[in-house]
Amino acid sequence: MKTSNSYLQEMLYSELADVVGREDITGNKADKAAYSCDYYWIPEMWLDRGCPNPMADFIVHPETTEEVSRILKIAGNYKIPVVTWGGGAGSQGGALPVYGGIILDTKKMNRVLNIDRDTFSVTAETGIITQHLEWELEGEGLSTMHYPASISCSTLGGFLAHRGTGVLSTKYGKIEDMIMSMEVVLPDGKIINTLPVPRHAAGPDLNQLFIGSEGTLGVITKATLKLHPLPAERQFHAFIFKDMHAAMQAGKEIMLSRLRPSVIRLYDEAETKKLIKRVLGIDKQGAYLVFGFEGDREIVEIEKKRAIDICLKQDSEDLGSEMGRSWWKHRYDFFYPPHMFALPQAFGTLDTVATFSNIENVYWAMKRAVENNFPEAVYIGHFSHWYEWGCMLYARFIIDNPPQDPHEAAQLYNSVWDAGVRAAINAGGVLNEHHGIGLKLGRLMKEQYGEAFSIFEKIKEAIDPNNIMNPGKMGFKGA
Amino acid sequence: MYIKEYTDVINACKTCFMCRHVCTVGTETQHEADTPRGKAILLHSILNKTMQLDEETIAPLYRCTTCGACKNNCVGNYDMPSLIQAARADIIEQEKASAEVVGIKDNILDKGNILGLKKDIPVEMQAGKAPLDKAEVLYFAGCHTTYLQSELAEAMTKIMKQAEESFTILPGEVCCGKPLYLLGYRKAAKDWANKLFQQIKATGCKKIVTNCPSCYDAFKRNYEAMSVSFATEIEVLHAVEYISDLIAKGKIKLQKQLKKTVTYHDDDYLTRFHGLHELPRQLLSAIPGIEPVEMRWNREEAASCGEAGGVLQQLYPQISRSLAARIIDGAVATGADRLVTVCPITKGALSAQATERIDVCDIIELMVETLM
Ligand SMILES: Cc1cc2nc3c(=O)[nH]c(=O)nc-3n(C[C@H](O)[C@H](O)[C@H](O)COP(=O)(O)OP(=O)(O)OC[C@H]3O[C@@H](n4cnc5c(N)ncnc54)[C@H](O)[C@@H]3O)c2cc1C
Repeated sequence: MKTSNSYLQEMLYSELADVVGREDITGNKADKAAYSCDYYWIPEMWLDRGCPNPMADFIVHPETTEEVSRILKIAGNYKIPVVTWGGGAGSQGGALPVYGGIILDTKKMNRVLNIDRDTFSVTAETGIITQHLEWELEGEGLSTMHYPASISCSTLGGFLAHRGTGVLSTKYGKIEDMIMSMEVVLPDGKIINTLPVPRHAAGPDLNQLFIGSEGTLGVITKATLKLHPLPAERQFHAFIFKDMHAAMQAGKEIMLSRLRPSVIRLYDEAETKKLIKRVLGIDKQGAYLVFGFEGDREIVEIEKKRAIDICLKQDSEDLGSEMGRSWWKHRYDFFYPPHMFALPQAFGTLDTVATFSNIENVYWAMKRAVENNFPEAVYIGHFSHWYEWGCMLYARFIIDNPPQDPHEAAQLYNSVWDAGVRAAINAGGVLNEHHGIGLKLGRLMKEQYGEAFSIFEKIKEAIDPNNIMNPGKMGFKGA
Repeated sequence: MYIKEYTDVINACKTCFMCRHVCTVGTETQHEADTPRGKAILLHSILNKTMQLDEETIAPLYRCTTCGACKNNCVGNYDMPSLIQAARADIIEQEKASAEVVGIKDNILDKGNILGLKKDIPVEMQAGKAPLDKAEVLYFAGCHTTYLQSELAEAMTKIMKQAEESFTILPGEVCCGKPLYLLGYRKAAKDWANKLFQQIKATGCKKIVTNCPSCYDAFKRNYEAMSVSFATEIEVLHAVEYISDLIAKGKIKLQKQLKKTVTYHDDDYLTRFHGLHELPRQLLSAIPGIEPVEMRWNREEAASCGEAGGVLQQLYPQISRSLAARIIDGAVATGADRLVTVCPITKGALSAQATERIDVCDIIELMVETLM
């Protein structure tokens, strides 16, 4: 171990090594470099341009809740930041060790502890990669139905920490709808459990306090999630609409008529032209929409027929179920190189959510804010998670040739975000839908919440008086 | 630097997380530097000189099985295994190899085998030694078969004798050179390949048969890349191909009933690099009485044992043991009586972890059982 000459570091190393064992702590620069960049564009650009990203002093790999508790006590004693790291695939800079300190990698806490077939629930340690969890459940004919595009790279804890979502959220909900119960290690090392069931009237819901807290209030170490049987039938169907508005009318009607699609995904004209063509090979003008239904075959057939009728009413072209299945089969391909946007391009996902009354306004307001203020930027989007009252907009901006100077590039990047997000909030959208806040959007939390943000600040102060848990994230003060 | 040839891989992988769930070593150690993304970050930083190749950055570059699970998972087909091998070639060129890596190379150059065992071919292998100096078929056993799993050499030669094949074995057979290539010793590997190729040619063989996938891959891919080409003169066959051919020609018959449930472990090289995943299965199914069952992870998605050239076993024995234990768990879960491999290195690694839980054998041993 070669880190620094400071003997405080040596003391810290010894104490941490005493908890996790020498094989589960490292301060070596190759490891630190690998933990210095998550999926946030700024550290990626920084790395690309050869600027050093901030690094942790140590990375620890606890294997039990008790080890986590002891690590937090040590960190609290020395008042050293602790950044919880799951897959490091968050896009908001949430897992970046911007103040140095300890990275607590959860991935060695990856056991499936119990599958309760009477309840249809699973209890697992939160460092498990969600695809690994699904593989274990699949063998039992069960699933959480949480299928994010990052299923292969992010952890259960990461999704809980960011209020994540998967492609089938329209039927099965976001991660906050899937949770039953959690174990959390608080910053002072206390280990607490939330109530065993998610519905009760015993005060506010502690689950929902820790979900979305992005490692600022403690470490979520175990979670119990609802399960579903793998469906007997899983069907998809695709359409091309003349434009996004017509497709939106169809999507809205499907939801308002209270059908229960597993997914509706509507791509604007630009994405249809670019991505649907590139990834699925469907070369059509207009807006591509795919929906899915699943469960018992007879019910699926009825619901699908109703949804097809709704789509046809909007003068759409029926592409059939093959083109729908093709989307399902390739749903993750969009995120692999060379399909994914990549450096030197600058790009960001301005995901937001609004009611049906507002969502199209939000789309246009963001588009204007981005493209009018930043002529070098292209704005595209799709609507991928639908609710009874509205839907989520996965808007993106892309700048093909951002400035070479990393500082200028970062400034431009942040300005596009400010403009896009403010436009969304003013039009009735929100700061974010499922990627979280992290370092990227912290500055806008007060604008989003107004006075209400002080509630969060007081909670943070009460739970983490030493401010050791992921300081400087989610709009909270730095170390 | 050799890695410059793979800038596209570095650029694509340094910001991509999509294959980390299948990364053989990454999912074992859970260290970010052990994932393809982590390695691409390091190599990017080395290329742009913000980091250097030194003890700390070199270690993760050898903590990789080059099994190809990442590439197999990749929609863009980015070639991480080749990038890692290029990085190792740079390490060697800059004379920065660790003592352990140098030790393996010295074993090969000085003793003729990766294990550093004494030069003579052990008695077990001589027992099956062919009487001929020149023959149609050259049986190439490889280091692990010769020194650690000599029962496989015995089995292989029994099959060849039963088929009345004209075959020979190289006198004092040495390593195929695969580990040299894997460790980054490109020049040494090329010189080695040239020398060995001359010896092979001198036997006048038309076919070279090996039961070791690492040797097979060396002859087929690495020799080719080093411009030592078997292609026109000598056909390279893995035992599985050769035996299938003997059966097809009616030279041997699978006779005896073997009432066993078996599960087949796909070899990294045969399956992911040479597409040979059905042939071993067909061979197993052809044995009377055998009931094959599949592990949850099979064919291109099979778990890797980290067998490549036996290098990981020597450099990171603890990781190697864990990888083998994972496969044993998967095999035991099938309820099979036997776990069948096609690689001596894998057989050794798996047997050591199997304890009493499952029998591990090579496909050629099953063949002998059903033939004799
Ligand atoms: C290609 C790609 C596609 C993506 N697609 C989706 C998608 O479809 N849906 C979606 O929701 N997201 C998606 N994301 C974003 C990302 O996967 C999520 O934000 C995910 O929640 C991050 O999890 P992680 O384990 O990678 O967390 P990390 O990046 O390691 O951490 C994220 C934050 O969570 C905190 N944290 C992590 N684990 C814990 C824990 N156990 N307790 C407390 N805090 C913790 C960290 O401190 C940090 O603040 C995608 C990302 C990529 C790279």
